[in-house]
Amino acid sequence: MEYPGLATIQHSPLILSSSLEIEKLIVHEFAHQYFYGAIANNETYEGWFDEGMASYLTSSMLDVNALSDVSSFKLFGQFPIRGLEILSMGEIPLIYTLIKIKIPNQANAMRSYYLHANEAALSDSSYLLSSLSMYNAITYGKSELFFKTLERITGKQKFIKTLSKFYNQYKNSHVTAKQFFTFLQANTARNLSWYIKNYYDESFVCDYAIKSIEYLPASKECRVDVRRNGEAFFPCEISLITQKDTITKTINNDKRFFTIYLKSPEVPIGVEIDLHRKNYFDVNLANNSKMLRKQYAATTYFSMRWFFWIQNLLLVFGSLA
Amino acid sequence: MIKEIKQTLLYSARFTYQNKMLVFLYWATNLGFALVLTFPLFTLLKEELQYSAINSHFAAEFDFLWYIQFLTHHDTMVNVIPGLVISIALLYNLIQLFYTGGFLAIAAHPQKNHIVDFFFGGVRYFYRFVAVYLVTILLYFVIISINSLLVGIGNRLFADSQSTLPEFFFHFARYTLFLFWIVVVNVVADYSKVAIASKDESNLIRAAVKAFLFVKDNFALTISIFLILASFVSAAALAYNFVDGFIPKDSWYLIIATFFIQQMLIIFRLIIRMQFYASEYYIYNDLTAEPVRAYFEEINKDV
Repeated sequence: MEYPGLATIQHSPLILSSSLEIEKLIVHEFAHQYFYGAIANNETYEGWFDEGMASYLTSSMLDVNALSDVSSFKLFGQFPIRGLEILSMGEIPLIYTLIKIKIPNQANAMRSYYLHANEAALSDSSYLLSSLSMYNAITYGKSELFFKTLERITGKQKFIKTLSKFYNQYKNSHVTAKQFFTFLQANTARNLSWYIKNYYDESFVCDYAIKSIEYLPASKECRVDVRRNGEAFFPCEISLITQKDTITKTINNDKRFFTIYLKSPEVPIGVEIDLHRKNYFDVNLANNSKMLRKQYAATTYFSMRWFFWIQNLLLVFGSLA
Repeated sequence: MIKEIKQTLLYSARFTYQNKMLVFLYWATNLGFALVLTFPLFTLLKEELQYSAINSHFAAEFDFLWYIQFLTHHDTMVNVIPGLVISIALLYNLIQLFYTGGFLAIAAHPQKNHIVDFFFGGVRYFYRFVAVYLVTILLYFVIISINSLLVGIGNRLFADSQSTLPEFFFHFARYTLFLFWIVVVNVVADYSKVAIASKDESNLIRAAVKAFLFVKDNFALTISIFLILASFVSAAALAYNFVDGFIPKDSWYLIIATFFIQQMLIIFRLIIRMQFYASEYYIYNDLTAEPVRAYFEEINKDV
């Protein structure tokens, strides 16, 4: 919890040495000394601004230092164990795996956002958000993704520089989101109005999908059908992946369905939208790509794991019989 | 006691080895049920990923972002899974009860050791074992309810606490107690089945009381055997996880190798499960055996 010049944190007595739980808390609360402390905002209406900024700065700091948390779960609600819990009954993990899984720094924000993705906008007054879960999803989750995606659109260095300028100009004063957007637009060459409209004003969901691809050997082109499933618009970076090269084309098209032709000197492997995952709002990454050939590696691997977990679970239940 | 433990483990290992063919029956049943529960997920994953680049990402590293999206998109199915698994597990348990009856019937007549005895025993004790199972489920439910109640009490007690340590110790004591009672109910339920099969006891309450008193009187021995065998399973699980961590998953051969290692662990667990019953049968029969009285007759030498 943040206070002017002071922060308090709480954590459980048992914590994994590889966990970044405490570090993340400290950085988050420290960031609040800048956004909330030095630059204040009305948290009743725009709680997302300082919380989102503190969360964004925390995950950015981890990204800069190439740090990421490792997944863990708690046995009986208290003993941390490295791995991934799939199914539990109360405090007892029933299906879990002890493999080391790196959690991307924005994963928690995404998980929280997905719970209420199309239910509220960042522009909604914080105190009107109907549940704690929704409050967390918007104030912490969506806001972090908003700043992170903004950083990817404008460029990391540029965005950090703009933030620094914003801080110097507005420190020891109150700001509103509108002031921030105006300042941002004034300091950025790109037009950001589409972004603010789609991801701040509205509770639109973003989901781009490759519906089909077809290689046309005669013209050495690849026909790609793209569909925008969600209401939100985002400029599409469509990459054609071949054995030797990756050809990327940016499409600024807000149509729900469109077809593009990409020149391909050889038979491509597949096509992917947002190859480098710039857009943190896309709610379905699986349909962002389409390969020409069917692939079963992940399906087999995951199904086999699941099969083994179920076998073990049946043995656990069987031993109770 | 160490000698008794040694003898019991030796006997149970020998008995399990003599009936090794049964492991395949247990294994086949386990495989069949697991297949039923895996098929819906396999279909879903195939539909979602067969043309996706996530497949190639997966070979390099577990895609956690895709994973949380998958859980969100299929939350209806994900929420159905626990209920589905528990329903199928109940059916699985009924078959396990049948097998246990058969296994204990063979243990009761080791000289015959016939496959017919196995199925005959399965049918013979099935009704009684199911009754024991239902009571066991009820007891588990009571233990879980008391545990949940204690969770609520703990949360209220320490809601305004400035230190996390007292809360930690409270919960530590709570789940130690919780585990203890789960183990006790499990062991008593096992010995009830052994009592039924060993003495062909038809009165379930008498069998349960006998089993309870037996476990109480021989607590150290019964629990030690339980814990020793359970520790074998834990050691095997740890060994599996250790080995699994070193196997890359980027080629089909290695994925298949992982599958074989997984199945070895499952078979080992099934063997240990058989050994559990064999050891319990041995201890129960050994310690409740009627002493053979020496019969002396005075012979009148004068006659």
